[in-house]
Amino acid sequence: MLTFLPSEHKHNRPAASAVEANRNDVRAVETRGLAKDYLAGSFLQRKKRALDALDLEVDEGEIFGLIGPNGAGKTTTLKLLMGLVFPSGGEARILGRPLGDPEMKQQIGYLPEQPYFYEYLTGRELMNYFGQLFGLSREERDARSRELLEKVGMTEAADVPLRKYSKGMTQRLGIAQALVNRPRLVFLDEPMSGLDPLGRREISLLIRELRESGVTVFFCSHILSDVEQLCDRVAILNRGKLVQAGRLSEIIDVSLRAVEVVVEGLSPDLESRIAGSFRELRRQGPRSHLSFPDMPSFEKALPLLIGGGGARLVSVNPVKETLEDHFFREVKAGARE
Amino acid sequence: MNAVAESRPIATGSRVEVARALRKIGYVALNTYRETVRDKVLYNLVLFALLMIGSSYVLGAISVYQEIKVIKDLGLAAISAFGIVIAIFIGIGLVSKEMEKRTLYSVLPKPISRSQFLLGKYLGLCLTLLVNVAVMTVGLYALLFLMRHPFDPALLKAIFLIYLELALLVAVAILFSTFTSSILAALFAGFVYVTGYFSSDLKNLEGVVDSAFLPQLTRVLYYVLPNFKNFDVKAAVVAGDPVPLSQLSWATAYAAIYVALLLVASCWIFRQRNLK
Amino acid sequence: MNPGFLIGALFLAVYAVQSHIDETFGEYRSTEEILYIDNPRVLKKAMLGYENLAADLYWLRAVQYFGGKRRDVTNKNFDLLEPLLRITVTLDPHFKIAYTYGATFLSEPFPQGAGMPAKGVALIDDGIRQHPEHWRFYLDKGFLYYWYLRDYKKAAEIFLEGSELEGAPFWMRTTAGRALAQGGDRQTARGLWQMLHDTAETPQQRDNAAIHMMQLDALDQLDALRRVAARFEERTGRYPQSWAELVSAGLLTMTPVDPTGAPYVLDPASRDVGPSPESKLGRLPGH
Repeated sequence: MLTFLPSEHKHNRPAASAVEANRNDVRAVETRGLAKDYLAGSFLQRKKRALDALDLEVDEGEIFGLIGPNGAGKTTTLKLLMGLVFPSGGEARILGRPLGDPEMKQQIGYLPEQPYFYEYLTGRELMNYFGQLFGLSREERDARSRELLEKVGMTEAADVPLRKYSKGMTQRLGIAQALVNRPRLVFLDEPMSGLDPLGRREISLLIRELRESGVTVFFCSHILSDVEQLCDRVAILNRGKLVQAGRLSEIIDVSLRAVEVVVEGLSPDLESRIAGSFRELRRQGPRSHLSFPDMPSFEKALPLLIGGGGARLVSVNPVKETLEDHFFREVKAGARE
Repeated sequence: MNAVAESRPIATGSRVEVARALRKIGYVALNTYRETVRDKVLYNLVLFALLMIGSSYVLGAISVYQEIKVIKDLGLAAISAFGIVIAIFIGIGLVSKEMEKRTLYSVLPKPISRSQFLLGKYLGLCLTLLVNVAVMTVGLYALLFLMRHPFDPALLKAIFLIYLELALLVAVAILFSTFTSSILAALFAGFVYVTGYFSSDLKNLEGVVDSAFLPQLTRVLYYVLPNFKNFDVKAAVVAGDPVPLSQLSWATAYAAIYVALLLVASCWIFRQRNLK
Repeated sequence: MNPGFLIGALFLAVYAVQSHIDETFGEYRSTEEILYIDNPRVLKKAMLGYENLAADLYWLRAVQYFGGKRRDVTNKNFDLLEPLLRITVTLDPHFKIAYTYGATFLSEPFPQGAGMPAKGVALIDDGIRQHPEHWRFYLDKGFLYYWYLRDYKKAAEIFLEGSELEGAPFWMRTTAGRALAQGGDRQTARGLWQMLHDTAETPQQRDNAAIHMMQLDALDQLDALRRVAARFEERTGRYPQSWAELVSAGLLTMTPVDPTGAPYVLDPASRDVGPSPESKLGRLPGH
């Protein structure tokens, strides 16, 4: 497996201590009151706030997820950071430098949402072109292109014109071009979109690898399970406003919400004996699905369930709140305001 | 702090940086060339131009003693007319199409300024134009050669000026494409060409029209609009009349200054544009 | 650097270069334009339905190149006047003004016009062929014969013919009579020019008529001045040396000026008076 060592920054520390070690370094991304207004409406041009006073902090070496429903302002945030649109207010810094700074741009990579590339170039030519824009030498460009194209599984299609690419192929090429310059910090807008489950797995692994090599990853997604799996820190946007931000473990109530148990052959007699401990029971054929409110209640009932009363324990599942649960809760609360 | 648009200069002065900046402009240019030259529609246009040049052979055969003149007339007209269509067509492939198709999204976040990008695009398109015009020129000369007509270098003067005209038109198209959609940019560029071509007919209206205001207005328009007549020596060249080199140099100067003007304005607008 | 400032500076440069190009190569460009398509009938076919528009364009060119402020008298190239007008009327035979304009300026002697009255007659005849009912053409044609070709009999015939057409003004008949009877009379000529002045369709034709009337006035004035000089000679026995002498002799109140304001010249050597060479009157007519 190839590791992605950024040329200027060598992080060889394990990911866990990255946060503590970083507190004195410059932040990867920092925004203060970042805002963007658009003129909306076809006739009467009204000002619409797409992003409202966003305060964000991303540390180096972490995987940061920006989530929110469609239209929340995720892509707007990225476009502002990339200099594709200009802020209506507030300020932002990437790697300690102002937006648009060429030295900063040299160290970052970007994958746009629904990327679109020059139709008549081939994959290899595109990688070469972008390599040129980063000022890489011919040898570096060739080596990097080969390496990255293989990494994203596009080696065979490298010499096919881009207009013939499928959505998945374009997405893979997009990820490859974001890494051409061995960036210190990568911005990915919906990196999993257009990929089949296999592809999504590969990209997940790739993102993890990037973090192993000390690269900071900032990505937007509306697939919350991906975010939950990968991210160290998360920010939730809704309707242009920041709803919540922080470490994943802080945001989600990590404590158990329930213990789901499946038992076969639960006799009514046994059922009445454990009646106090479970909260819910649902019968499905020979099996019963029990829901205990916490571990102690389950532990109380456990000896009875395995104690030879004719019942057989099929499975035990501790349930935590998922990011999705939390997210829906927060967003719905916001909608009611 | 960041509430204003990108306001960094293109190069901060050191020679190495200037060289690096120029090289990046060159890369954008080469890539633009590669992208536009492979466009199928472009192939078809050039093919049509060659067909038209070839068909002048038939027309030439009809007009007694005038075959060569007709071939030259029609050939130059084809190069000019198709050149204009090509110039406008690839002109709209500039900022407008890039913005509409979002290919810009992956380029601008790279370490290249918007001005460098625009300049590179322009140069790339000029290169494409050059190749297309060269192909058509070779076609014309090939036909003349088949007609056993000796090589006439004077035609190159007319074609050179046609090329300048096209380079200027592409710059006009770029300017419009920085703030309007592809289609509107093409229409506006075409409109500017037509009015620019006929503006010289309106420059001396004093004494001809009773109003005092109108001649002043048309006079101002004459100088402001690009005067494409400066590049038209087709008739003289075909008739064998001399076209002095000084005329070519002054026309080149005019084109260079006007193109610079258009590119400065285009960069200015483009640097402030919020992309959709 | 402020881009607005740079753009302004470049526009000034554009203006400078364009002016230079116009000055150095302007003449050349206009010639070759016309000659590019020398056959008006071919041009008409090539216009694909936009002939009227093209006619307007050629008319504009004709009037511009030859009608503008008469500052470049030396640069006037009247060789193109006839082709331009021919193309205009071929493209649009209803363009009546082109015929009358052509009649005037083709016939005017150089440097006011092309000095080709025969071509003027040919053009007007074309007009008459296209529009036999248009009285104005007869007025113009008659005038051509009267003033430029000095054929008073023919002029009278044409005026008469024209006066019978519908819509012809009543005075065409009397003009015919006067042309025949009084031929080269200055009074008649002045009357005809007045008529042309009042019915002129372009500012140039109007100015042209005005200048001709001033010329006739000048001739009258010169005659008067000659009589004054003769009286001085009778009194003193010699030809006057300057206007000042005549003024102090009480024969003149001040230095005489022509209708354009330029002072007349008294030449003791040739014993004659005449207009100043710098006068805008131009060459005075023979009679």
